[in-house]
Amino acid sequence: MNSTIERLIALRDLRQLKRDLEDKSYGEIGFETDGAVEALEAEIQSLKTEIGPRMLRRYEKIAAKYERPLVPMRKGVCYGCFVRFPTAKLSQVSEEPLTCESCGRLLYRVP
Amino acid sequence: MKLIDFFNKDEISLDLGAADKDAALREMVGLLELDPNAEEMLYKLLKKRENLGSTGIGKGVAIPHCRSLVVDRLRVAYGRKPGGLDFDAVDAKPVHHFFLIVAPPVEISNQYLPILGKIAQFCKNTKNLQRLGQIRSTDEFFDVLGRIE
Repeated sequence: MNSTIERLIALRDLRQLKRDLEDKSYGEIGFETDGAVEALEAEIQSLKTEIGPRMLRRYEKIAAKYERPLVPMRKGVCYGCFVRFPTAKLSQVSEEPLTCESCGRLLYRVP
Repeated sequence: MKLIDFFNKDEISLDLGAADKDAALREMVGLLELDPNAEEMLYKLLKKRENLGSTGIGKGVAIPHCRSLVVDRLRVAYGRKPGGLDFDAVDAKPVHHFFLIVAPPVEISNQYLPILGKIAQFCKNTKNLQRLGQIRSTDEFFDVLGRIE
């Protein structure tokens, strides 16, 4: 998997984890979370630096539009809008994550 | 839905081979049979969660959990380590029972936290844990869990 995509997935997951830790009903279950939110925020900031400002801006823009800014692509189909990605472009090798030409979400390939 | 409905026979191991915390997390993630990339990302995220505070809640139970894009539906697995292993649990005692809960970030049925709560509640009952310690097959596991709403 593309390392940028891996970092973006990690960013999405860590933000979700932070939201969960801040959820009152999560606290009521009984897990110890003292200082966890602050530690997580530091981790998120560090990850943002690794992603870089240009990619991060692009990601945030898509995230402002969609609840799921990153979606899997299975058998060439975007699992955000279910439109097929052009086959000719699938073989292109790039460090940049693929973008769905229909909905604009970032795509990561899964078998 | 009842708690039992979230478990799948293939995602239960009554004899984990892991000898330490990291290996236990890896083995539990392995029960979900994800692709290697997803497995590695999930393991790293669970490790990060553990670094923020152990999910070993005491009484020999750990409930590693997180939400991640690498799964497309709520997944639950159970693992038992009869001899127990050190999981940095809150009571510093060895952990014998592992419940792994993973859900996608956006989950329409929104069952992640309720399921987490149900399992934590189930594990607070010492009798339930004793029963889990004695079961010899996955069918018996379902019998024990089937009594829970």
